[in-house]
Amino acid sequence: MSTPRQSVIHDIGYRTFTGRRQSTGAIALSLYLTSLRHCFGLGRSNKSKVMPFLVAALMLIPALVLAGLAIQLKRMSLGDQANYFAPLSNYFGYPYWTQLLITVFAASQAPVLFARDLRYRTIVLYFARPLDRSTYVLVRLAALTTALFAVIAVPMVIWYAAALSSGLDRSQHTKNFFAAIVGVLVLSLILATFSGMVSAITTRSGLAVVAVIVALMLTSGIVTIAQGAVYETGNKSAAMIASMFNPFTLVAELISGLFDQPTPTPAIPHPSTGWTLVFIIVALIWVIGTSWVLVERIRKAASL
Amino acid sequence: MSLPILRLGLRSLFGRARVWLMVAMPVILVALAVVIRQANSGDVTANTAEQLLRNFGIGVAVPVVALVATTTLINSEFDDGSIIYLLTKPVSRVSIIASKAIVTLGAGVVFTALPMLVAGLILRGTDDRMALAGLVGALIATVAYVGVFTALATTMKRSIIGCLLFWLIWESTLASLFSPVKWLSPRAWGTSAIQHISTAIDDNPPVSIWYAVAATLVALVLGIVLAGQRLASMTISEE
Repeated sequence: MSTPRQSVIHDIGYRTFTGRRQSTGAIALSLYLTSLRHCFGLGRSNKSKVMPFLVAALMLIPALVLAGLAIQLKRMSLGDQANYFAPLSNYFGYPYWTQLLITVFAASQAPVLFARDLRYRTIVLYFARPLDRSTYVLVRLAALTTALFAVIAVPMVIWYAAALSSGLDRSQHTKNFFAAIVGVLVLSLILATFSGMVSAITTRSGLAVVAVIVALMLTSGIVTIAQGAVYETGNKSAAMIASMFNPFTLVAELISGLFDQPTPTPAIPHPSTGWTLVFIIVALIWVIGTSWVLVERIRKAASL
Repeated sequence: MSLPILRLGLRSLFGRARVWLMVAMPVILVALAVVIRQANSGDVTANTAEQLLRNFGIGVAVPVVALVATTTLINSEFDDGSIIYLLTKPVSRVSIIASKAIVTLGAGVVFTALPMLVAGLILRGTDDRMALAGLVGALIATVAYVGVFTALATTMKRSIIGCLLFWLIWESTLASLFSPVKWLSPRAWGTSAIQHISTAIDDNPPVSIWYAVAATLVALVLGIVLAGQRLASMTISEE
């Protein structure tokens, strides 16, 4: 009787992996970092770097112009400065007025993370690793949220620094700034889940870009018109219900209620405590509902 | 004109999921008109009515319907190369492009111009020709957008994105910052038509109505000529 080892006729030298295997966490981290790089076109073709960096640069322009002015205007009286920087004190106005750029960024980068893998079936390669379906989706979402947050928050930090160096009321600005940053985080999360869901459903990048832009700009247009129409009649409930249908107005209402902030335009009413609770629930529905659809979609697509 | 191509065009436009996007536009437009009428308890001012027709009608509904119709009927067949199957049939290339243009424009009339008339009637009844202004403004804007989108689509790759950027950046953003953009903006032409025809609007229209009509026709002819040229210069065989 011989051992199995000796009974092998051909030993062509296949060896099992004897090194240390990394944990799921390490796999998730490396997926997160690659996804984040891909959001900005790093590690992709030169052509795909144009859009994210163009949007990021355009987002910076208003902040840089204001920072330049703040340094120039040191000699102005404090009252003049306060008038001049009145728009500064409403930090959430920044993402609100640049929503077109943010929408374009989300629409152009979400398909990179969520459509191509499904389209070209490379998703099965990811799931050949010990990586859970929902972990994959959540990591991708985290990467897209981080990218969106960075694109919006960096100009706002510059804006905040400009305000601090201008000798205005610091505590007020600090409060407004951090309230708006919380809003930007929620906004990035909603935009990431929504655009990711649309990309995963369409699975074609071109179509997904169009669908995300049309959906967000359309709801934005409808909400603006509906709010403008009821503004004169003073019907606040109608205006607040309208706000729920677009991420930008929804988050504007949310932080306005939570942190007692002014809203970016007078047509968006300041909500009471009860309405703030409603807005929190609606924001949760936006995030959890869309992520659930996204996870289900990826699960189904990957089960083949 | 060729009946089978008209029929094919209608089928490819209405047989897909994207038709719901086109159906949604008039539904939202009319629903907004009803909501505004309710909110103002039946007494809508001419300015509010004009703002809905201008901002949502000309600003959103017309370009979206024109974009869906043009990209479905003209661009996508060029992009995926399936236009070759039409070219191999004994149908003149002029009649191919003309039939497609008729379906596209027809979709624009059905999904935006007529709903604009309905929305105008809901908002203002027959007062100060608001409904008529909506109809004519939407017609002008539809024809102009179809022309511009066709021209853009045949001259660039990734045509849908190009058309979308034209709508979002050129029309919606730059036009509000630099006023000379109005000379080259279908949105301004449609708006001018509304403001000229309706008797209740005191605003100075961006461009004169004759310029709007002429520019619209030029845009349509340009689009059709460019698409026709691309169609005519296509060769079936490999080089």
